[in-house]
Formats: sequence, C-alpha cells, structure tokens
Amino acid sequence: MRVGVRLFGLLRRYRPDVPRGGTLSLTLEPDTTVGGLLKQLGITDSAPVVAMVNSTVRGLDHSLADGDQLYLFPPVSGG
Amino acid sequence: MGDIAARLRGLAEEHVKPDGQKVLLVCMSAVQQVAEETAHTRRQVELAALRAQIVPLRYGRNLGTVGYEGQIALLESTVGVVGVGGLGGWVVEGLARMGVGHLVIIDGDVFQEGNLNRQAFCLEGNLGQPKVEAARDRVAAVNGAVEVKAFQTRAGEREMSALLRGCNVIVDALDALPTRLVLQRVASELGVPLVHGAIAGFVGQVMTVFPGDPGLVALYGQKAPPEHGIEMAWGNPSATPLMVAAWQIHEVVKLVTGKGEPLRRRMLFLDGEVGVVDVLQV
Repeated sequence: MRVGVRLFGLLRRYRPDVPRGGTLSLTLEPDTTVGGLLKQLGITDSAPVVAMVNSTVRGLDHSLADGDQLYLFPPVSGG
Repeated sequence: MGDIAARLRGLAEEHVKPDGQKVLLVCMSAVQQVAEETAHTRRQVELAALRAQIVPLRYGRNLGTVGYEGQIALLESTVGVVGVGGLGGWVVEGLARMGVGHLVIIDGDVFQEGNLNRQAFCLEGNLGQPKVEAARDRVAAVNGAVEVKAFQTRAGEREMSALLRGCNVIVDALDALPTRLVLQRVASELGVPLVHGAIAGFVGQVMTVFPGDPGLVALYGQKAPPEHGIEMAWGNPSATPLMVAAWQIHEVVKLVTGKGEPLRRRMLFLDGEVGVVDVLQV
C-alpha cells in the first residue's frame, strides 16, 4: 500500500531529500502502524511527534490504510 | 450621545480622500476634550464619533479593513488574553492598537532576563515586575481609550472562568499544554471562541477553537499531556512569537467584526525556517 507523508518543522531533517512543502510517497507493508512508519523514517529518538492521519490525530498503534495522508509534526506549546 | 456627536462635528476636520469622498476626522486631543466636557470616557466618545460617521484619526487606517461597524464592534468588545509572555505581549499590543475596548489580562509571572529576547513588554528596566502590570502600563501608553483589567494570578479552572466571564473572545497565549487544555474547557463552557497560538524554534501554530470543537484535544488527547512541547529543545527566538501573535490578532479582529473566515477546524502551521505555511484540517 502507498501513503503520503508530510514532515513539519525539524522533523524534516529525517528526510532532507524531500523538497520543502513536498509530500513523501511511501510504499508500506500491509498493516503497518503509525509507530512502524515512524521507525521506517528513522524517527526513533525520544522526540515527541503528533501524527495526523487524514486530518485525525492517531496513536502509534493505529494501522494505516492504502491512500492515507499523514502529517507528522512536533507538539508545539511555547508561548 | 447626540450632543457628543454635535460637539465632535464642531471639532472635526474635513478630509478629502483620493477618490473624492469626504470624511470627517477627529483627533485624539479633541476626543479627550469632549470626554472631559461631557463626563464620558474616551472610549464612549470614540464610539459616539464612529456612530456619527466621524473617524477618530487614530483608527483611520483600520477603517478600510473593518469599516465603521467593525471598529464599533471592536471598541464594544471584551477580549481575554491569558498569558502575557512572548505571544500575549504582542497580542495585547496589537489589540490595543486595533481599538479593542476592554482587555482582561491574566498572568502570574514576573519578567526575567531570559524574557528579553522576545517578550514585547520586557525591558532591562522592569525585570522583576509582574507581566500584567507592564502590560497595563503599555496599553495605557498606546491607547488610553482601552479599559484594562489585569490579574496577576496562576488561575485554576474555576478562577479562570470567573475572571473571563463576559469576554467575547479568549486568546490562548499560554506556554504549558495542561493549562491550555483547561483554558479550552473554560472558553467552551463560557460559550466563546478561543484563539490558540503556540511556538517553538522557527515554527508556530494558530487555530481558533469554537465551543464544542475538538481543538487541542484532537491534537494532544484528553489525558494530562506533558507540560511542554518541543520548544524546550528548539528554543523561542525573537521573531516566532511576533509571527504567531500577528495571526492571533487577526483571528480576534475577524471574530469580533464578523469579517473573513476564522481558522476554525483548521490549524495554520508556520515554518519560518524554510518559508512554508500550511493549513491542516483538524
């Protein structure tokens, strides 16, 4: 299955090959979870990530489906 | 109010715009004079002027954007700003300049040296001063027509709700996730929109949450989230709060005047590092 992923903020550093504002198209094994995708992208450090799948925030154990569009961005709370 | 308008008309100056349209302008000292003569506040006199199609000069550049009705709505509105740090300082400054009539400002902190890089009201000479005091002084200096209620408190849910009652819009300019979620609940219970803003490093986000909208809960969940986001590692440089506060000011202006479309169920995500602005459906 294929999903589209956009990385926001410093999460872009995990895929510097993606042009700014660009969407990364990934081919995944069926039943790959959000957590599995993060691992594939190399986002394995303790940096917290908010994962939005088709406009809804999902947990790490959420199974992805073909055609899903993901936004991965950092939780931002400074004021 | 009719006598106020008549008096203002006597003091106003006619100005011909490039399109040939004539407009009556009244300066700040004339507004002050009429306020004293008629024992009204400056805000009341400015309202009377606008209702009589006389433009207080200080709002002249607002009118093309918000119109007479919009400026009247702003002067009649009450906006709560919770947090007067990096975001809240610039938000208060902008709302005072727009002519929001009443501001309710809440913050429990005093200025520290580490605030100097980004907080509008933090000066070398006022370190140690409560932030809300500095905010009140600044508003008085910028726009004496604005009525300010300032509370130096780290308000819990009940106190926050009591202090913010009567506000038409509330601005979330806090810096900790758990308090932000409490504020969203308070705004929802009070039945008013909340304008959320947050910053970290080069990035920032803005979203307007209406009562009943999932808002921050959709982003971070119901459970007690970690107090801080990524900003502890990425820092808070000077420009990011300005960038996000500016959008928050526009959100408030739109909500109060009914102009434009608020960022409802849409989160603006600004990445200053690469110059990309996104709108995420939430």
